[in-house]
Amino acid sequence: MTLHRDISTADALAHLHRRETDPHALDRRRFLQLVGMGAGGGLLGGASGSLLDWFVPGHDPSAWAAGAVGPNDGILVIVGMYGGNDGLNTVVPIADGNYYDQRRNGDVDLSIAPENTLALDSATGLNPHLTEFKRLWDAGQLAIVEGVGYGFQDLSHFNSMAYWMAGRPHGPAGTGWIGRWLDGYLAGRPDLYAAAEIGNSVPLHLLGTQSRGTGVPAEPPGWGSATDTRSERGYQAVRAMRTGVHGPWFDAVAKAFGDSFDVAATVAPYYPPSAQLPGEPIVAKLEVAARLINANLGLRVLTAGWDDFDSHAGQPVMHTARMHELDAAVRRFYEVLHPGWASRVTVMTFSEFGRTSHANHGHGTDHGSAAPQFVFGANVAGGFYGERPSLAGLTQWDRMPHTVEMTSYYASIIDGWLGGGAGDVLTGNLENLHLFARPPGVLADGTTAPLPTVIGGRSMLVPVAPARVADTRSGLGVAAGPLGPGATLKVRIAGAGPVPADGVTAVVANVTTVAATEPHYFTVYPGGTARPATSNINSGPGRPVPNLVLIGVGLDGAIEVYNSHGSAHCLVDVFGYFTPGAGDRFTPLPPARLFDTRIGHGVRPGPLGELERIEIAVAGNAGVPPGATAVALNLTATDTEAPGFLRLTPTGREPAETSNVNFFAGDVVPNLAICRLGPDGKVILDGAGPAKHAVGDVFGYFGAAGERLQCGTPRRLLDTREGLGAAKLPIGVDRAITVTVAGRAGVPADATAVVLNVAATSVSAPSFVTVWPAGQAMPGTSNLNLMPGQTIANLVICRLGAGGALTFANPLAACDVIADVFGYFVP
Amino acid sequence: MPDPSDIAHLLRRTEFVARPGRLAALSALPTREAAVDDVLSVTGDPGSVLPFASSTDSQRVVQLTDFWLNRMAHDSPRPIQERMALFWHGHFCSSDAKVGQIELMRRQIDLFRRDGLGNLRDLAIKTSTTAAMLRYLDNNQNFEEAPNQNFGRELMELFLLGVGNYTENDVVACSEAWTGHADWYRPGDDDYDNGAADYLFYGEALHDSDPKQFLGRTINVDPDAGIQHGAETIHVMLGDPAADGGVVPAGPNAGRPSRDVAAEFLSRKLWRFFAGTEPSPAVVEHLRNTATHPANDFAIRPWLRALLTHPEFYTPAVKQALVRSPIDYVVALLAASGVRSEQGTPWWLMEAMGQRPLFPPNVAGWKHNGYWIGASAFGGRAATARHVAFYVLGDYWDGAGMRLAGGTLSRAEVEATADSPAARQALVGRVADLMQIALTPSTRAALDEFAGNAAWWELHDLVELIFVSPEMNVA
Repeated sequence: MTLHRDISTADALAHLHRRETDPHALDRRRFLQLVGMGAGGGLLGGASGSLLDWFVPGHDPSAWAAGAVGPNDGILVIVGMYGGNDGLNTVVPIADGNYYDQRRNGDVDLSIAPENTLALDSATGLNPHLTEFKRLWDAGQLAIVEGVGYGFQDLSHFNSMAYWMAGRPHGPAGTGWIGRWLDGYLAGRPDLYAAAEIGNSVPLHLLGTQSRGTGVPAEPPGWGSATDTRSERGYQAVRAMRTGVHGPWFDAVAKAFGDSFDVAATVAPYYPPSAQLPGEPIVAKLEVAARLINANLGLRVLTAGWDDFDSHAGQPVMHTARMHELDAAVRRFYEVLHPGWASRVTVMTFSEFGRTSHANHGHGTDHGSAAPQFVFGANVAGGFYGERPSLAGLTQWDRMPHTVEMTSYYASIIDGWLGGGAGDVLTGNLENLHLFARPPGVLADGTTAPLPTVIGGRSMLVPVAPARVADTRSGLGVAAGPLGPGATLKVRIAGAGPVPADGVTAVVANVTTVAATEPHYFTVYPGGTARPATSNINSGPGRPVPNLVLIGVGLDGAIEVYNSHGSAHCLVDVFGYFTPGAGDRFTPLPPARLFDTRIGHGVRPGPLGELERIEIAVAGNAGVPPGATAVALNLTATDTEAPGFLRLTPTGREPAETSNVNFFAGDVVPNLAICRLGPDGKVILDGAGPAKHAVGDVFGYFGAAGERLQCGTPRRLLDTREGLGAAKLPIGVDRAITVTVAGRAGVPADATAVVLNVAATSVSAPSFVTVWPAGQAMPGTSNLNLMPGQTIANLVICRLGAGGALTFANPLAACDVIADVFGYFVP
Repeated sequence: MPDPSDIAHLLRRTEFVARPGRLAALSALPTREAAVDDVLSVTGDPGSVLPFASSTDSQRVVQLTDFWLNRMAHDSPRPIQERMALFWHGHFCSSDAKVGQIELMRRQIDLFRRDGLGNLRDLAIKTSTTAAMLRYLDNNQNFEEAPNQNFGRELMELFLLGVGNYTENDVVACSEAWTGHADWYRPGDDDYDNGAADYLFYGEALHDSDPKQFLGRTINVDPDAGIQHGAETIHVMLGDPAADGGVVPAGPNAGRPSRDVAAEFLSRKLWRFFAGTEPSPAVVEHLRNTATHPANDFAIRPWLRALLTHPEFYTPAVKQALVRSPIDYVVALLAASGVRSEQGTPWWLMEAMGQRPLFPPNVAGWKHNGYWIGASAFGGRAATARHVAFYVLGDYWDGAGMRLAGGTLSRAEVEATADSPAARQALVGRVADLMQIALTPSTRAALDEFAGNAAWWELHDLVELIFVSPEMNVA
């Protein structure tokens, strides 16, 4: 008997990694026939005949249905060993004389001597190169599932891989097991970030009936990830090519380019430069997988694989190299993975078959059957599962019987780690092997591990007593000394002052520039990410300028502040932070004036004296309901006669040594504030300096119900100087502009409000800029107060209006406006 | 006079792109049929990449790929010849990933290029005995004592009849008829640097020369004609049932002449390749009757003519129905830019887009339309667009201008638009004209907005933006 040669592993993989399924083509029937179904059977249960329904099932490019990974969600990493891994030389039966007999063929001896293995017990040794696996074993975190396979083993790479990826031995292979799990998990909602293959194309196991995984590159993505104005304008042009009038494929193509830009922009901040990625592809892929988990994009399943396991000849060198790569990849994975994720991440292996126990004449082994697979992670119950197949009496072409059904192996993962539902995904033997010691996120002491710091992740506000966390003048929190031109200051947020060390996704802070030597700007962005082409604060000599930032905190727990020109000192005052765990949700409101001391609106009339305290009732006014816990309001100082500041404090507390607005004589200066309300729903307004007036405009409030914040890396949305997002014309008296925000610059279509930094420049006369939801009348509120010759910025949180758009206006004079997106609110 | 939009459509599907000269010439012909005849008026040998410039296979792969893509984009007077070869390459699949000697692939591709509009029967027989096919589907290991059914099965299932139109006994018979076809060097022919490589080696001793029952016929009755036995299976599948033709033994087509079934099978595949839609029953019937007409008897040119002149080929549904494959896409980029493949199409970008000539993913070849679309694959297209744009710009900043198929746009001309949004918008039309591509109003509007707002020194981005426009990606 000779082994039937079949199409190669590479060919089989190429087919199983499909970009598209073409339901009517002969090729499909061929595929199904190959995997044992025969023509016409079991086609894509439920998929309609339209190809268009298949390839991007209604995906909104930036859609993110499932949201971030929660504290008790399990993440699964699937590592494919393509070509048929030799299980016997991976988990070596060191006490089995049959193994040592059968691995010898004439002069050839492919066995690994007991003393050369990493002994696990008296009968088992690991391949000597699997030192990381030995560490996991010793830590009780490595499960070895013996004898995994299926009946009537198919010896074709192509067929057997199709069965494994489909999770259906001898069954239809139109969908994959994770794809069907995704169908249930997403319930038809579009989501590009629930499951991903690190590689060029999407493999069969990630294809469901309605949902499918995304392919993300193993290297830093290209076009689509740049954030400069020119690139953004290009992306907008490509998106605008979708019209719906030139036939289905025309739009599908334009959308696919948009999707590719979106995926690139979303994942790009988490890649190191190519040169810093490991050279071995699987090692690099698992590093990228760890980075994407750290980023908490919402990925529940990540898959990666590599090939060249088909050791018909020259096995010793070949298999050694694969084992070395596997070990290096797992080691790298854990080096990069944030320890806070450990209790939520499980890694599993698969391969289309094992290999024969008998060595052949070519220093190799041939296509086999059952093999051991690894499942490991902090919450895995280490040990042996299943039963090691006996080698007794096997002749040259006999294959080992399997002892654990592949479906049982998968069901144990789905029910033990992915939230259950194996019965909806798989059929056959679904025996749960109970591979896990604890559910996802749960530590040995029974508590749930806090979520590690991530950028973004739908999060809620925790206001804190205002605290300064960085001051380059005194060296508080950072090195003392001003920022030079082009310098970047890393400011640690996680663990600083009142901010906890873990679980912080974003921070609300005033960043102040002091003692600037030249006109300059600061760019504030999440730590450890590439600096975007955006800005937050503009200032010049002689003017300390604060501006509120609401910014994603980087994976390193920090934000970074970049200084464009000259030198300047930097102060950072924290007012609150966002976390996915527990906190207050946001409800955006139409902009409304809450108080105005000039006319006694919402407050007693008359200027504010030196450190005079005025209570302002917030809850119950300007759309803020009773029970609100914090408010987003734009605080403006006006009619100022001398330098001073304004400050907001919850009732029942003493004001802190911070401020919200700083001003000079004659200034009209606003700054957004997110301020906690006292138990009575009020805040205290006070400020230094002689008589001055204060105006407050409300843009939304925080409370038990409402929406969560999603921060990303900053993206430029609008720049009238550059013609980005609107025509290349200043706004002005008769020229308000309406800018679509939803679906652009990373903001999804279902966002309800957006966090922008809005700057105005080239101001022709004293005036102001107001931003409001499109489709409504211009409110009596303002966001920026402008003087000619100044460039002024302020944070804006505004509800999106008709068409997901905002309107920007300056009713008094001409100016250019620039707006950068820092985050958005979603249900 | 034919509708120029019909002619442009015809040219995009048959010649990869609608070159202005061809569009003008064919639009001036009296009828659409005359235009089709012109497209199909292939004369002469399309030539060959030989001699190879390198003795290294990896470099030969690059040279052959560039030669072929350049033929498609620039060098062929009748690109239908190359497009038809691409069809057969995706039909009678072999991949160098398994074949492992590019000279063998070269011979097979050149066969498709030379005879791709000839006769299906001849092409199938010749292809079956190319060393590339012998290796790719293991027929070189199909011996009387140890049959290998890989080729025998695919010959019926994927190449000529379609699945379900034969029994397992027919697979056995077909495989046995094809036993004994190994591949081997010719004695004394070991000068690999000059193109020597394996050829068919027919080993009588390895061949099963017994008579066999195949599709209701007894074949291989002459034991002395063993080397013809394999070809007999093709003669039966495509033959007249009144003479030597076979009959489908099972399935929905049971009792029908196998050649009718084969003609329908290939007609559908041709239609999908050129039209992009599922053919209507009327189309299938018409094409089948053309193929099996005694005067044609599986001649490919009249078969394709019937397809290209069919009224349904010119319906809006068909005109909008074809996403360019990555090969078609790079050919469109090369044609629009004048860039040659040596610069424009490195293999890693082809792989990122999902299609590399000479390396089909499996014996079933490539699929169409939605198969190519996805965020990752289109990231590859965007990277390719930028890559080609890089060569278009070349010495642009040094004053050479951007070189496109229709001419050169000087930097001075671009710079002159600096103060006028309208002039910058007019430049969109100018660049598209030089790319010889017609933009739809919506794409034009999107690019106008871009150009109106861009600074003059950013306007060369138009090259890559037009490269990723739907117009460039849909044929």
